[in-house]
Amino acid sequence: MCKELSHGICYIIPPHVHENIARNGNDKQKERAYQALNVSAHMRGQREILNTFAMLATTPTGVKRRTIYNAQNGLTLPGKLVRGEGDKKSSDTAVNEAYDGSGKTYDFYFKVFNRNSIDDRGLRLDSSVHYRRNFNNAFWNGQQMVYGDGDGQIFQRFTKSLDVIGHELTHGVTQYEAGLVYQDQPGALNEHFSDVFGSLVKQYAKNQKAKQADWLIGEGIFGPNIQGVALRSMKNPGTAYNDPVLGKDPQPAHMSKFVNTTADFGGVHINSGIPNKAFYELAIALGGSAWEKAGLIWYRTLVDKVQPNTQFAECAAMTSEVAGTLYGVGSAEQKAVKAAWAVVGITVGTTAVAAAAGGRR
Amino acid sequence: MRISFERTGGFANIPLRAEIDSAQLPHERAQELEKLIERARPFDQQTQSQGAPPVADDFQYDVTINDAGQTETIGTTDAAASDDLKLLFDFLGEEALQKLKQR
Repeated sequence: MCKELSHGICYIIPPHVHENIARNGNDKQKERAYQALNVSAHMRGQREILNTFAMLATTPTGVKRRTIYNAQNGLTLPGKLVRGEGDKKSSDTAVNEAYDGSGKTYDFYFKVFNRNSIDDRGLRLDSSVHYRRNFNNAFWNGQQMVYGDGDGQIFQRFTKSLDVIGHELTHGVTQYEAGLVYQDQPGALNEHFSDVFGSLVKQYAKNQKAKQADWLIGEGIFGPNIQGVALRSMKNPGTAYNDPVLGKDPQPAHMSKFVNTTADFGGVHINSGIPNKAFYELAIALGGSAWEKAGLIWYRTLVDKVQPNTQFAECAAMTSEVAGTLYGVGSAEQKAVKAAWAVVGITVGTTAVAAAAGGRR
Repeated sequence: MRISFERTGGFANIPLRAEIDSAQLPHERAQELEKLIERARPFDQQTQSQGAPPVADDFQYDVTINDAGQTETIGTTDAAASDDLKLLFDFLGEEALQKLKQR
């Protein structure tokens, strides 16, 4: 009946029928009904259907559900279903990388933070690979991950790097939790949290200590002739690449070098270098595995504190507050948090908090 | 026809800028470009920026088309662009990338 969701015939069936199937059907029928409910709810903009869908879609804690689609170099999303949860390996490398990478990201969030997927309600992780032709990008579109193949010269396929997959999925987490606006400082913080947890997903999968990790984002996705190791370096922002064709990594590592621009949604991928560096400094100062303490402080800050319009200085104050709650006011951990922000020129203290609060929009 | 193309943002955030002159393109490519532009008109009806929040890691485009003294501009994100506009952007992006590689 509803083999292809993009076929108009699916929308002829009233939503309540899909709801009944979603409640009472067998697994395959349920899955299709969820999809149809989801798609038709989006098409019609009916919020209550989406809410019902969210309730029905809650899956038991710790159970991953991954679905990989092949966009077949076209514009239509999600594309053709090619690998579902538990299905055997595909002959397509990008499909397997998206499957394995989203699984490792799920495992990281579940085992480290006891988080059940992007929405903490077991949301199915949908990924589409082979989007468009020579597409030099990967993005989270509010519902799923989308990966291009790259043009083969400047970029290779974007699924190649695990931290890219962790980065994209974290945009989903941020959307459900803090809802950071994708513009200017809040946008740069949105990017920052994606880089932090993208890197931590990789470090966790490799079981690396903070000092062993490369702290690179997008390592290995450049084409063979590009002079650069990755797209961004959290350890040394501004040093990831320097290529005659592409130019130089534009990230600052200090507030004094903050870049004011209208491009890139107000420099969200540029100024994220500043908080990225602060996080790296904290992880090194605390030692051990970065996800244990620094990662936990950042996770709780994202989930409990950060607001849609949070600015850098406010975020810094929030991390200090969270460190105080987790490890004690005046603890070594809280002092390390303040020291890490000081490295990038952000002072955490009563003055900074007051100034930040006054600047709240 | 002269086209000024700029793409910023994206996960990689490596800006791509180029000036494309249809007279310099091979005949077939120039014809394809004409077709893509015609399909993507009228430009102001090919974007839906209202309501939808920005897509993380999305591309932003700024394109100026100068044809026989008439100038038209398109400024949009990739997600807000219609499929016809996306196909035009992909074509222009390919040309811009070729120019970049030749530099």
